[in-house]
Amino acid sequence: MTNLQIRSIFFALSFFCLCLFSCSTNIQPCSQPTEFPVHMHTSQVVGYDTNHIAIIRDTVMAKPVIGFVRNDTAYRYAFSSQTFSDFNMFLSTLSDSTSFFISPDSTNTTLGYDTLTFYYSRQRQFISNSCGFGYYFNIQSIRTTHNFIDSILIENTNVTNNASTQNLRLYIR
Amino acid sequence: MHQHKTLGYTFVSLFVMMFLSVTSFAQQAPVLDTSSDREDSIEHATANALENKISHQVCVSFDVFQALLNYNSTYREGYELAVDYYYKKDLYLVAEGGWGHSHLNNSRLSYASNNSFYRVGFNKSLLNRSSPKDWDMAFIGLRLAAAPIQRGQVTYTIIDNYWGTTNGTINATNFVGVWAELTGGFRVELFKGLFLGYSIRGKFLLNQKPFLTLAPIYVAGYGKSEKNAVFDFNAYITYAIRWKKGRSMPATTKK
Repeated sequence: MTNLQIRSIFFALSFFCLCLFSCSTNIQPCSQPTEFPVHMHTSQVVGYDTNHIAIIRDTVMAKPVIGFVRNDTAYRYAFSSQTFSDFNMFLSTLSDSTSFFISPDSTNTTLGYDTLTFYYSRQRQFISNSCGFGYYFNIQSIRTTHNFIDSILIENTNVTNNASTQNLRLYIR
Repeated sequence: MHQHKTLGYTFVSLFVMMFLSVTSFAQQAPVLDTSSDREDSIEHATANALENKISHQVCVSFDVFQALLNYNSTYREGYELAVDYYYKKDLYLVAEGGWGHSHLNNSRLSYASNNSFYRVGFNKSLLNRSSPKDWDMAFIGLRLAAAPIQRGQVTYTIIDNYWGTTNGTINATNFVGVWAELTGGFRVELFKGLFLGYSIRGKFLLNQKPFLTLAPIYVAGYGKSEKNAVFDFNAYITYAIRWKKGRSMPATTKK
């Protein structure tokens, strides 16, 4: 390869890069999530074996209702006409505890509601210059009523931007 | 409107650089393309003897591409200078520096930052010099860079669609960014002592921790510091200062 050919290649590459960088100098709008929910999966206790150990299986909720409580007022923010077993719950960024209510089946009122109260610490997290800051959370404890909820297992206390991490497993009766 | 202006400016810049490139090719082509095998062998021998030549060279370069970006950008301004010295065996010692500042003011963040930066390293030319007067080069190089950064007070707003908006401030701070660069490029002598050159750089942030709290949107010399690895581009206008020293040149030179 001659010097001339080498120079030609470099010039071509340079022009390409010049175009590329000239077009990417301004601030892009925010395109990342800035709110990071608790990921919860539901399971069901279907019975107990002879040693009184629970027999567990994955389950779904039929037409569930989920909402949060703010200033003693309940706000419904998730309602589904379908069944599903994975929920996202957004913790309050204004306080260190949040209460949610859950009904497993909005068409069967006899099942009632249960209330989950999360206690956690917040950590301000830089996301990007376009999106600013958000909050990560560290779950310290959860209290719940037991109308249809059997128990809750905290699998991962850290609520971050990792969408593949499951934080809670909710066992229903 | 601004985009049209930007696009127009880019095309004009490209046209000017393309014209200069063609001019450079025209200057170089006859020497390179008419060489016979015999001439090549003489050239090779001459190139090997270049270490004994009398010329020394210091180049001072100004990055005109940064000026183009400054014109296009609404949030940043940066300037970059480079000095290199021909050491030996196609090895150039390089020192670079510059300064810049940025400001961000959107619905979520507001702050300003400024910094200077310093780089040291070397370039290794990949082209054999055809004569003692041939200072054209295609090169690869390495740099180690540091930048003392001053970031002003940050005002932020966290928008939460469920729970409401949070506002706050973060105190101003000073910290140092350190990164390494792998670079490649070339430069061609258009007129006696005056070069046009380009370089492409891959930059790798070595100390990420100070940037976790808030990575400035622009760090002069590095770019967008919220990324741990970035690519950058430079277009240099270079002026060479040469002087003679030491032993005389061998009798057999090609030019």
